[in-house]
This record gives sequence, structure tokens and C-alpha cells, in this order.
Amino acid sequence: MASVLSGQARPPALSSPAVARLVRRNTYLAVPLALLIALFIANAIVQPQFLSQQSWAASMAVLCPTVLTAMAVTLPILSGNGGIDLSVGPLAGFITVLIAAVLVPAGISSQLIIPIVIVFGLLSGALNGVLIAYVRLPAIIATLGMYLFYEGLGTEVLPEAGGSVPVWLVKLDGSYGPIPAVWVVFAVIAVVWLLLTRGSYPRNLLSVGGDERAAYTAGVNVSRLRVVTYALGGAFAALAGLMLAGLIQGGDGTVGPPYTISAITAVALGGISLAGGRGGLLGGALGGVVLFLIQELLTDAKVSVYSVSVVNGVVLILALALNGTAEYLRRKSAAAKQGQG
Amino acid sequence: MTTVDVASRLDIEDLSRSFGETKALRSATLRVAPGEIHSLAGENGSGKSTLIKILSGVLRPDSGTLTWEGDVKRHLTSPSGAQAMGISTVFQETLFAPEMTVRDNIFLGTDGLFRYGRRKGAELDTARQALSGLGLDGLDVDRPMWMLSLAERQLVTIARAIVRPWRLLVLDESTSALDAQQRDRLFDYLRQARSEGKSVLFTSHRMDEVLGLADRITVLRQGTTVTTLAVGEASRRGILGHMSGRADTAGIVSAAPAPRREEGRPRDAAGTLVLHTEELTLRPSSQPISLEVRAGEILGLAGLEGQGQVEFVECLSGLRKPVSGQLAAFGANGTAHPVRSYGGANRLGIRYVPRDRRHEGLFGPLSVFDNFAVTLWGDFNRFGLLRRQQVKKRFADFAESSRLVSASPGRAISTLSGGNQQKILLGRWIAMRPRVLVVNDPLRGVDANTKEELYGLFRRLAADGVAIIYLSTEITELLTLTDQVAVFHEGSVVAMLPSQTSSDTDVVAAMFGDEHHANPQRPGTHQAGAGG
Amino acid sequence: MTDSTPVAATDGPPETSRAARQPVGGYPGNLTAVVAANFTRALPCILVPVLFILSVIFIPGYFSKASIISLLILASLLGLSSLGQTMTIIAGGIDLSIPAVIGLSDIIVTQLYYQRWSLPVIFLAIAALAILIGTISAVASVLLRVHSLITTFGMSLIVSGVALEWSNGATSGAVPGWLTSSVSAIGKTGPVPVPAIIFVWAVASVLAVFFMNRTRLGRETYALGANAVAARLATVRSTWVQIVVFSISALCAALVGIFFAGYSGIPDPTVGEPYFFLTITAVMIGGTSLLGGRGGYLRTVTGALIVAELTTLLVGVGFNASFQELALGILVILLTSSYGRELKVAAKI
Repeated sequence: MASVLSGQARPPALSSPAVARLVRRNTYLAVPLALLIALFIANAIVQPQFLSQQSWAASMAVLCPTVLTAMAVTLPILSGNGGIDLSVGPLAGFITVLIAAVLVPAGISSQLIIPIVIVFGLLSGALNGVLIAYVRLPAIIATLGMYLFYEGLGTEVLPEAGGSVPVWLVKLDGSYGPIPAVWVVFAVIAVVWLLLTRGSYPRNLLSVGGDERAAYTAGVNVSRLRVVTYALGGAFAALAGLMLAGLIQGGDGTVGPPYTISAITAVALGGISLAGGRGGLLGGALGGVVLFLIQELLTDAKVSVYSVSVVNGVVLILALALNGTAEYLRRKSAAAKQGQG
Repeated sequence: MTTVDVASRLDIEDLSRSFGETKALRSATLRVAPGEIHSLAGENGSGKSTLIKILSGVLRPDSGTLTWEGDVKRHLTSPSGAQAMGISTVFQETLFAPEMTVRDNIFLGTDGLFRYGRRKGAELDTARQALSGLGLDGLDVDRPMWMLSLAERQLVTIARAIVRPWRLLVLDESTSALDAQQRDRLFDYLRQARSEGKSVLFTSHRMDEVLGLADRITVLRQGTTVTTLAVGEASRRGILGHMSGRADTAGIVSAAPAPRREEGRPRDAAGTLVLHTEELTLRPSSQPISLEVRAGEILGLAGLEGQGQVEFVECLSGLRKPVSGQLAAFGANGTAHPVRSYGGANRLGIRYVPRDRRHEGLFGPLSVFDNFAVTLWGDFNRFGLLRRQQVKKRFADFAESSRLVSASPGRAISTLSGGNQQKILLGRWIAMRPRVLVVNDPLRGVDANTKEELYGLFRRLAADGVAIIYLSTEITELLTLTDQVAVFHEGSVVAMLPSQTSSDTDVVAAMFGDEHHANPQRPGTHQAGAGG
Repeated sequence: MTDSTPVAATDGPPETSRAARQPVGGYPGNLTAVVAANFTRALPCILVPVLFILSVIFIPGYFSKASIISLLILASLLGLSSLGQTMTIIAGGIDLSIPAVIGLSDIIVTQLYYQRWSLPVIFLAIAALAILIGTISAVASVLLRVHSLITTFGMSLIVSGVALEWSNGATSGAVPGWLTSSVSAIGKTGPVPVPAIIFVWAVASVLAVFFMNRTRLGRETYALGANAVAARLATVRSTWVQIVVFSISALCAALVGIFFAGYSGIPDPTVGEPYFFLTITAVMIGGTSLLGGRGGYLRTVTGALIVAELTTLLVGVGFNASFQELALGILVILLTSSYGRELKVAAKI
């Protein structure tokens, strides 16, 4: 029997249980971290300007929507049972339209725009959650429907890209005084991340993703958790839309949809299993950064725009393959472990 | 600290619950007193798991009342509702989140969605205490569950149930993976809890556990409570008799066996060997199984839930690899072919009819004909073009031989009754003229008339030389239909009972690992099919 | 769609959703019985003439040979694109790479013909490429255990990138004259004053229906979409079925790309873009469920006709592609809600 007794014959480096725990919980980050470092170096080599202060701020601003949509998709995927949210891209795109073509022209004050956008995202996500947890539609179908809905709605309300956004939003790739604006955004994201990951939510989420029957019989309200999860995902996507509006300095319903597939690619690159129950928001964020660095590398290497599209597709399939192999290996070792009992 | 402050802990009166056509519970009555360990006993299909699911808030009853500590409730709202009331349940299937740690699994569901300020220290102590009380001293609670052995996982799920404040603990086959020592520790814990006034309700497939631990036993049979006995006044035979329905009110087991199958069945000529298992081991801790199956023989498989008979059937059909041992099928000319995969088994003429018709058998949106023909197109096509006429003929033949209610084959399968659906699913495989037909509880949830028709079908198939491996949860069915019954207990075959001369009680006894009452031939190498 | 593991063996209540009670699409029955059988199946068929009548009323000059032919051309293009889509959806998946393959095929035809390649070789090359694309999508989906929605989306990125790269800067291309006339409202097929594409669609429809009803692969497709687990147990060749239907889908998209090339003559890799959601619309409106296992190509034919008519009718009134798309989104959710829904957690224990 493979019973493990603690405190026996541990190598000194891991003798601290807290460190061991931290490492164990985050083993899924191994691959994205490795990729991150490799790509960072590659980018610095190909384009020395990459490390300069100014291009930093700009890069990070462009990075935000990718990372935010990746985080938006991560949560539903972690909840397992085929969970996914295809509507994150079009929702973000629609938010740009909402801001530029509805809120600003209506004279809504700047302070209200952010809360309105976030609430919209929460409600949209909650609708997804209700369709999936209570109406019990397959997540792929429900969120495909919402994908089409938002892409259609965005291009219907604003057939041509345009409109205007508040000035403070436009300055997102610049600075507010001495502070690069993106740092403010990152600070906000960090606070949200802390709030989400410090309490009981991650445990509940990953348990539901691991085995929803175990969670249900143990007393977790699985349906409510799913609705909350999709709602949070919607909020992240809305935040991504906010950033996007600043970056394109207007509204455009067509700019959102590509973010759906990039978000899924980012999640796969982030070491997160598409089956759920394993991983974390950090993985999604890192995956987004990795994807961004890949794209940066291609742009710096003067690779044609169209090839970027090809590479995106190849990266998606490779990332899924990587994930799939990792899954397979882990399942085998878990089965072997069980056989010993 | 005692909690004996109520007259009765749990009072269940006339509970019923159906699933579609199947009546899982008809009239279940149960009374658990404070400070009592109560056993719920019954065969498969007696309604035990349904009752437990209702108790734990997973299902709602159709009718009946549930009184908890004096409060009459129509039903429990949800698992968390049940827990809030003080009922903690450990389900038969060990449920856990594999990636989460032991500690997280133990405290799963105890916090709301966004609860902050987890008291790690206090939690750690509680967890460690609970685990060591169950005999798992020194288990690293920060290990992910997938690293644990089966027994450890089961103990963790028990720990999960006991760290919550509970007054009734429900254990459904919760000792299935434990060794003797762990079981004793658990029983000590339960007895201690009893002395504090708490109540325990448990089910077990081991008679010695039931008799050794329980104060009282409630026997369920086919969804109805048959009797409640105090352990002192209950004899082994009596309890087994109640479970199999062969006992009268005085608990005396009637000696007369159930009606036998029709006479004139050619049983003397031992058919050719079709299947052979050599030291087949299903689990690391179980005994190897060696038996032979011959053409024209009907071999029955019996056992309580999870005792290995389903794993055996899956090995036979190539869906599962045994831990060790060989399985070979024999061709018409006598050459042996090992069974290595599902496709391979099919090519050797071994056809498997799965148990769960809804998820593993039926194609819901498709027609009756499509559901029947799906397996046949492989053989009946010319370069991919279907030879519909020939398949239609097979369908007509089958419909006649199984007395299928004649309906347009174009109807959706969902319009058929459960019994007729099952006929179609059987037909799908029978029409392929199998050498070995492996059926997994095929007549579960099927009405009596259809059963008779299908018994006739099976007998005719056997007379034609098909070997049938027949797993069933209904003992009477096994004894009327089969030649021999192999009874499974903890992954091994503990008895091979000749159907002609065995009684229901004999089988139930063997199912509970009770060797005093079975007329078994001791397990070892069984020659199935000769003589009987 | 999602390959769920077999759940515990409680035989729950039998499926009695409305869709399940309908006779199976594709199983032949006599015409009146089928029509009388249920309303949902008949409704799309009723809509076709109704919409036509409405168009005649509201659009002056509609009742002319030219507009009817144009309508049929539109429907043919959509119908052919949706042929493969119908099959992939029935098999329990979906193909989002159709627009990209249309675009690639358009590019290849215009460019290679311009470079004086011989037509049979061009067509062969396109066909081979299409089969390759479909096979990769199918195999990736099976091996990676990922829904074909995602793998075909990935393939579409690759294919459209290739198409864009290939056509980079190219503004001139050429197509044979007969190809242009095959999609032109004034085109002829031999002596008959009807453009060839309509005949091609008719033939393809017959072949598609034949394939789904009369071949082993066709029936296996239905089984796979209806219940993937039961299909595997019933010795259905799951992987092979997916390879075939996704290849057919790519081939049909390639064919449509060739016709599009005839339409405009210039290389346009984005020509297929509206078909991203229009194929799904045609399939759904025709009555085939996104859940798989039911429906048939004849339904999609009606769906394509309806979408073609609606587009013509509503464009004038301002209901453009965007509106159609958002309406489709709502339709997807509403229609699927009324068919099969997944099990409650409690039912899985």
C-alpha cells in the first residue's frame, strides 16, 4: 500500500511543507513557465527594442485583452463537465460597441462606464451559466449561440467601426503622469485575482471540475457555483472589451471574435486541462502571455501577417496535443497508482 | 456528551419512488432509534440505494413521510440540507475530486462559495484526528487524492462524513475496500458514537459484519420492508430467507425450491468448448477464476453490487483487461484464440449486451429498425451499399421469435416500452448469430410477460448451441434459466451452484460470503456444463 | 457532442422529448404520412412556398425567370456548402472551416488557371487538399479528445492564412467561361436555360440522401451522433466515420469555392466568410438538431431555400447579415432547449 508518511526522508529543499504544497498545487504551470522564458529570450534576441521601457508599456496594453479573455475562458473550463465559454470574444467586441456607440453618445459619465460594463459582463455570463446549469444545454451549444448573438449584435449596432471613447481609456497604452497606465490595470487584475483565489471559491470550483458528483453529495451547490463561474468569466471578458475599446480607440464588432480562439489556445498553453478540475487563473494568464510573445516574435521576425494566422492555428492544435499527451500520461500513472491499492 | 434527547432519530413511513416504469421503492418503512446501529439488508434491486439517496437529499420520494427527530418532512431538499439536519452519508461509490488534497476533500462542501478566513490550524487538527480515529495515522493531508490507494480513498470519504456534526451516519457498503484492521477501527468508532447517543445506518455485503455490528436489521425486498428484527432474535438463515423471500413470518426458510425450467432440455451432451478462463484474476486481492463454458450452456453470474461479476463480464467481452490470467475463445475447429480487445472478442463471435440500455445501448433519436440493424450493416453490405432486404428479413425473423409487438419498424425507439426496447437491443446482437452471448442484467426493469417471452428466446438460443453468460441481479431468474450459477464475492467466485437443486437462500448465502448455507462446490477449477 | 462517460446504471425515465417522438429523418415513409406525422417537420416545407409568395408580393418584378434563377443559384451555393455541414452535425460535431476552404479553393482555381494549369489537374489538386484538410480535422478531434468545433476552427485559421498568403497582392485570376456561366442567371446547361450549378446541387442532394440512407457509413453517422458510447459498443467505426464526413464537408466547400470563382473571376479568399454561420442556419432551420443523431439532408435543402428566400426578402427591409446572425444565435439556444438536455447531477449518482 502506497501510504505516505510525512516527515520521513525528505530532501532538505522540500522539507518545508508550505513550499511543497505550493509546488504540488502549481505543477501545471511548469510548461507555460518554460515556454515563457524561452520566448522572452527569443524575442529579446530578435528584437532588442523589445526590452525598452516604451515598447514595454505598449506591449502590455496590447497584451491585456488576450490575457483577460484567456482568464475569462479559464474559469468555465475549470468547472468541468464540458464547460467552456465561446462567447468571450464577441462579448468583448460588443463591449467596445457598447461604449463607443451607446454609452458615450448617451453622455454617460466616465465614472459610470466601468461599472456598467462590468455589470453587463456579469449578467451576460450569468445568462450563460443559467443556460448551462439550469436549462442544462451543452456548454458548447449555449455559448455558440451567445457567440453568434454578440457578433451579430455588435455589427448590427455599429456596422462600421467608429464611435469615440473617453480620453482616459485611450491613454491606456501610455501613462497617467509617471505611472504607465497598464500598471493600474494590472493592479486591478491582481486585486481581483487575489480576492478570487484566496477564499473557498477555487477549492469549490476545482472540486466541481474534478468530480461534480463528489462535490454535489458533499454539499456544494453545483449549479450556483456554475452560474457564478460563468458570470465571473463574463466580467473578465467585459474588462477585456474595455481595454480593447481603448486600444482601437472606438467600437468595432468584428474585432472581438478572434479572441475566442486565442483564449482557448492560451488556456491550452497554460497547462490547463480542457476537461476541468486542474489548473488556475494564473495558468490562463500565463498562457495568454505566451501566446502574445509568440505573436510578437512573429511580427518582429517580419513574418507576413497571414502566416500569423496559420501559426495561430498550428499553435492551437499543438497546444491541445501537448495537453492531451500530458493528460494521457497522468491518467496512466494514476491508474498504476490505483492498482497498487 | 450524549445526544439522546429525542424519542426517535429517524422514522420513515411508506416511502415510494419510481423511475419511469420501474418501481424502485414501493413501501419502505424504517425506524432508527437514537444510540443504535441499524443495518439495512437486501438483495440487488431491493431499493436500498434508492432509500439511501432519498435520505441524503439526492432524490425525492414520490410519496410517504420522513420524520427526523420528531419533525415531519416531505423530503430533504438537497445533500447540504441533509447535512444541515445532521445526516451524513458515505455513498457506495467512493466519490472524490482526484486533483484536490485529502484535506480539501474532507472539508468539501463545508464552506460557502466565497468564504474567507479558513482556519487552517484547527482544520488540520480535526482532519488528523478523524483520520487517526479511522486508522490512518500519519497520512499527509496535503497529498492529492489520486495518489492514495483505494482503501485510503474510502477512509477519506468516511472522514468527510464524520467531521461534520452528525447525528445519523449512513454508510452504504463503506467497508468494501478496507482491510480487516481498518474495518475494526471503524467499527470501534461506530460503537463509540453509539454510546454517545448517535445513530448509524449501514448496508454491507458481509453477513458477519451485519450480525456483528448491528443492533437491529431492516430487510428490504423488491422495494418493500419485509421485516425488522433485533439481532438477538435473528438467525442467519432467517435473515437470508427474508431477503430471498423464502421465509414466512416466523422466519422459517421454506425448503421447497422455486419452479424449475422446462423439461426436455438437452443437457447430457456436453457441447464443444467455446470459452475458457485460466487463472483469471479480477483484482489484486481476489482468487483466480478458472472455468470452461460450453456450447449450449447457460452460465449464470450472481453477486451483490460491486463484487466482481460485472468486471468478469467485461473481461469476457474484451472491454477490460484482467489483473492476470488468460481468456481464450475456441473456434469451430477447436483452435484457441486469446481475447485481447473488444473488437477482437466480437470477431471471435463473443457479443456483449450492456446493462445500461439508456446510455450504452439505445440510440434515442433513431428508429426501431435502425437500433436493431446498427450492428448488422457491417456484414450486410456490398461495397458499402446496404443490403436492406436481408436485414429486414433478419428483423422480421427476430420480431417473430421474440414475439415483438408488431409495429412499424420506422417508429422512434422511444415510443416502445422498456421491455420491447430491451428486445430490440438483444436482437441487435442475437441477429449476428453469436457463439457466445454475454448479457449483463438484460431483463432488469422489464415487465413479466416480456420476461417470459425472452426466457423462451434464451432457451431456444441455447438449444441452438449458443453459449450464454447470464449476469442477473434476480436470483429466481438465475435459478430458472441457467444451468449453473457462479456467485461472486469480493472479486472471486465463491460458489458454483447447480441451478436445478439450489434454492434462493443458498444463493443469497453465498452472495454474503456465507459458506454455512450454500451447497457449493469449492472454488477452484470448475467444469461448467458437464452434468450440472 | 461532448463524449460523456457512461453514467451509473439507473434506468431513468425514457426519453420522451418531442423530437425523440418524431419519426427519424432519412428513414423513408410515404409522403402523406410523413407530412402528417408532425408539424415541426412540415413547417420548413410550408415556409418555402409561403416566403416565395411573400417575396412576390413585396418585391416588384420578383416573379420573373431571372429572379427565380438567382434565388436558386443562391440556394445552391448555400445548399452545397451545407451538405457536409449537415453530415458533421448529424455525426455530433460541427465544421467551422467551411468558409476558409471555400476561400482557398477560390484562390487555387483562379490562380492556377491563370497560370495555365490543366483543369482536371486543378480539380484533382483541390480535391486532394480538401480531403487532407477534412482528415486532419477529424483525426485531431479524435486524438486530442476535443470537440470538432475547436479543431475545425484551428484548421480554418491555418487554411485561411494559407489562402491569404497565396493571394497576397494578386488581383488577377482567370476562370474558364463555362464555369462562369454555370453560376450565372443567364447561363445554360446544354439546351436547358438553367445554370449548371442548380443541376449540380440536385445531383449532389440525391447522392447525399442516398449516402445517408443507403450506405453503411451513412447509418453509422447517425448512430455516432445519437450516442457515441453505444456506437462504439455496437462496433461502429467512429474514427472512420468522422474522417469521411469531414472530408465530404471540405470537398463540398471546395466545390462551392470553385463556383464562387466562376461568379467573380477574381481571387477572393474572404468570399466564404458569410458562410460561417449561414451553413449552421440552413441546417438548423431545416430541422436538424445540433445535438446530432437526427435530421437529414433533405431538411437542409429546405433550410437553404428558406435562408435564400429570407435573405432576398429581408435585405431590402434592412435585415442584413448581422441581424441574421444574432437571430441565429437566439434560435440555436431556443431550439436546442426544446430537444434533449443534459442530466441533472443528482441523476448521475
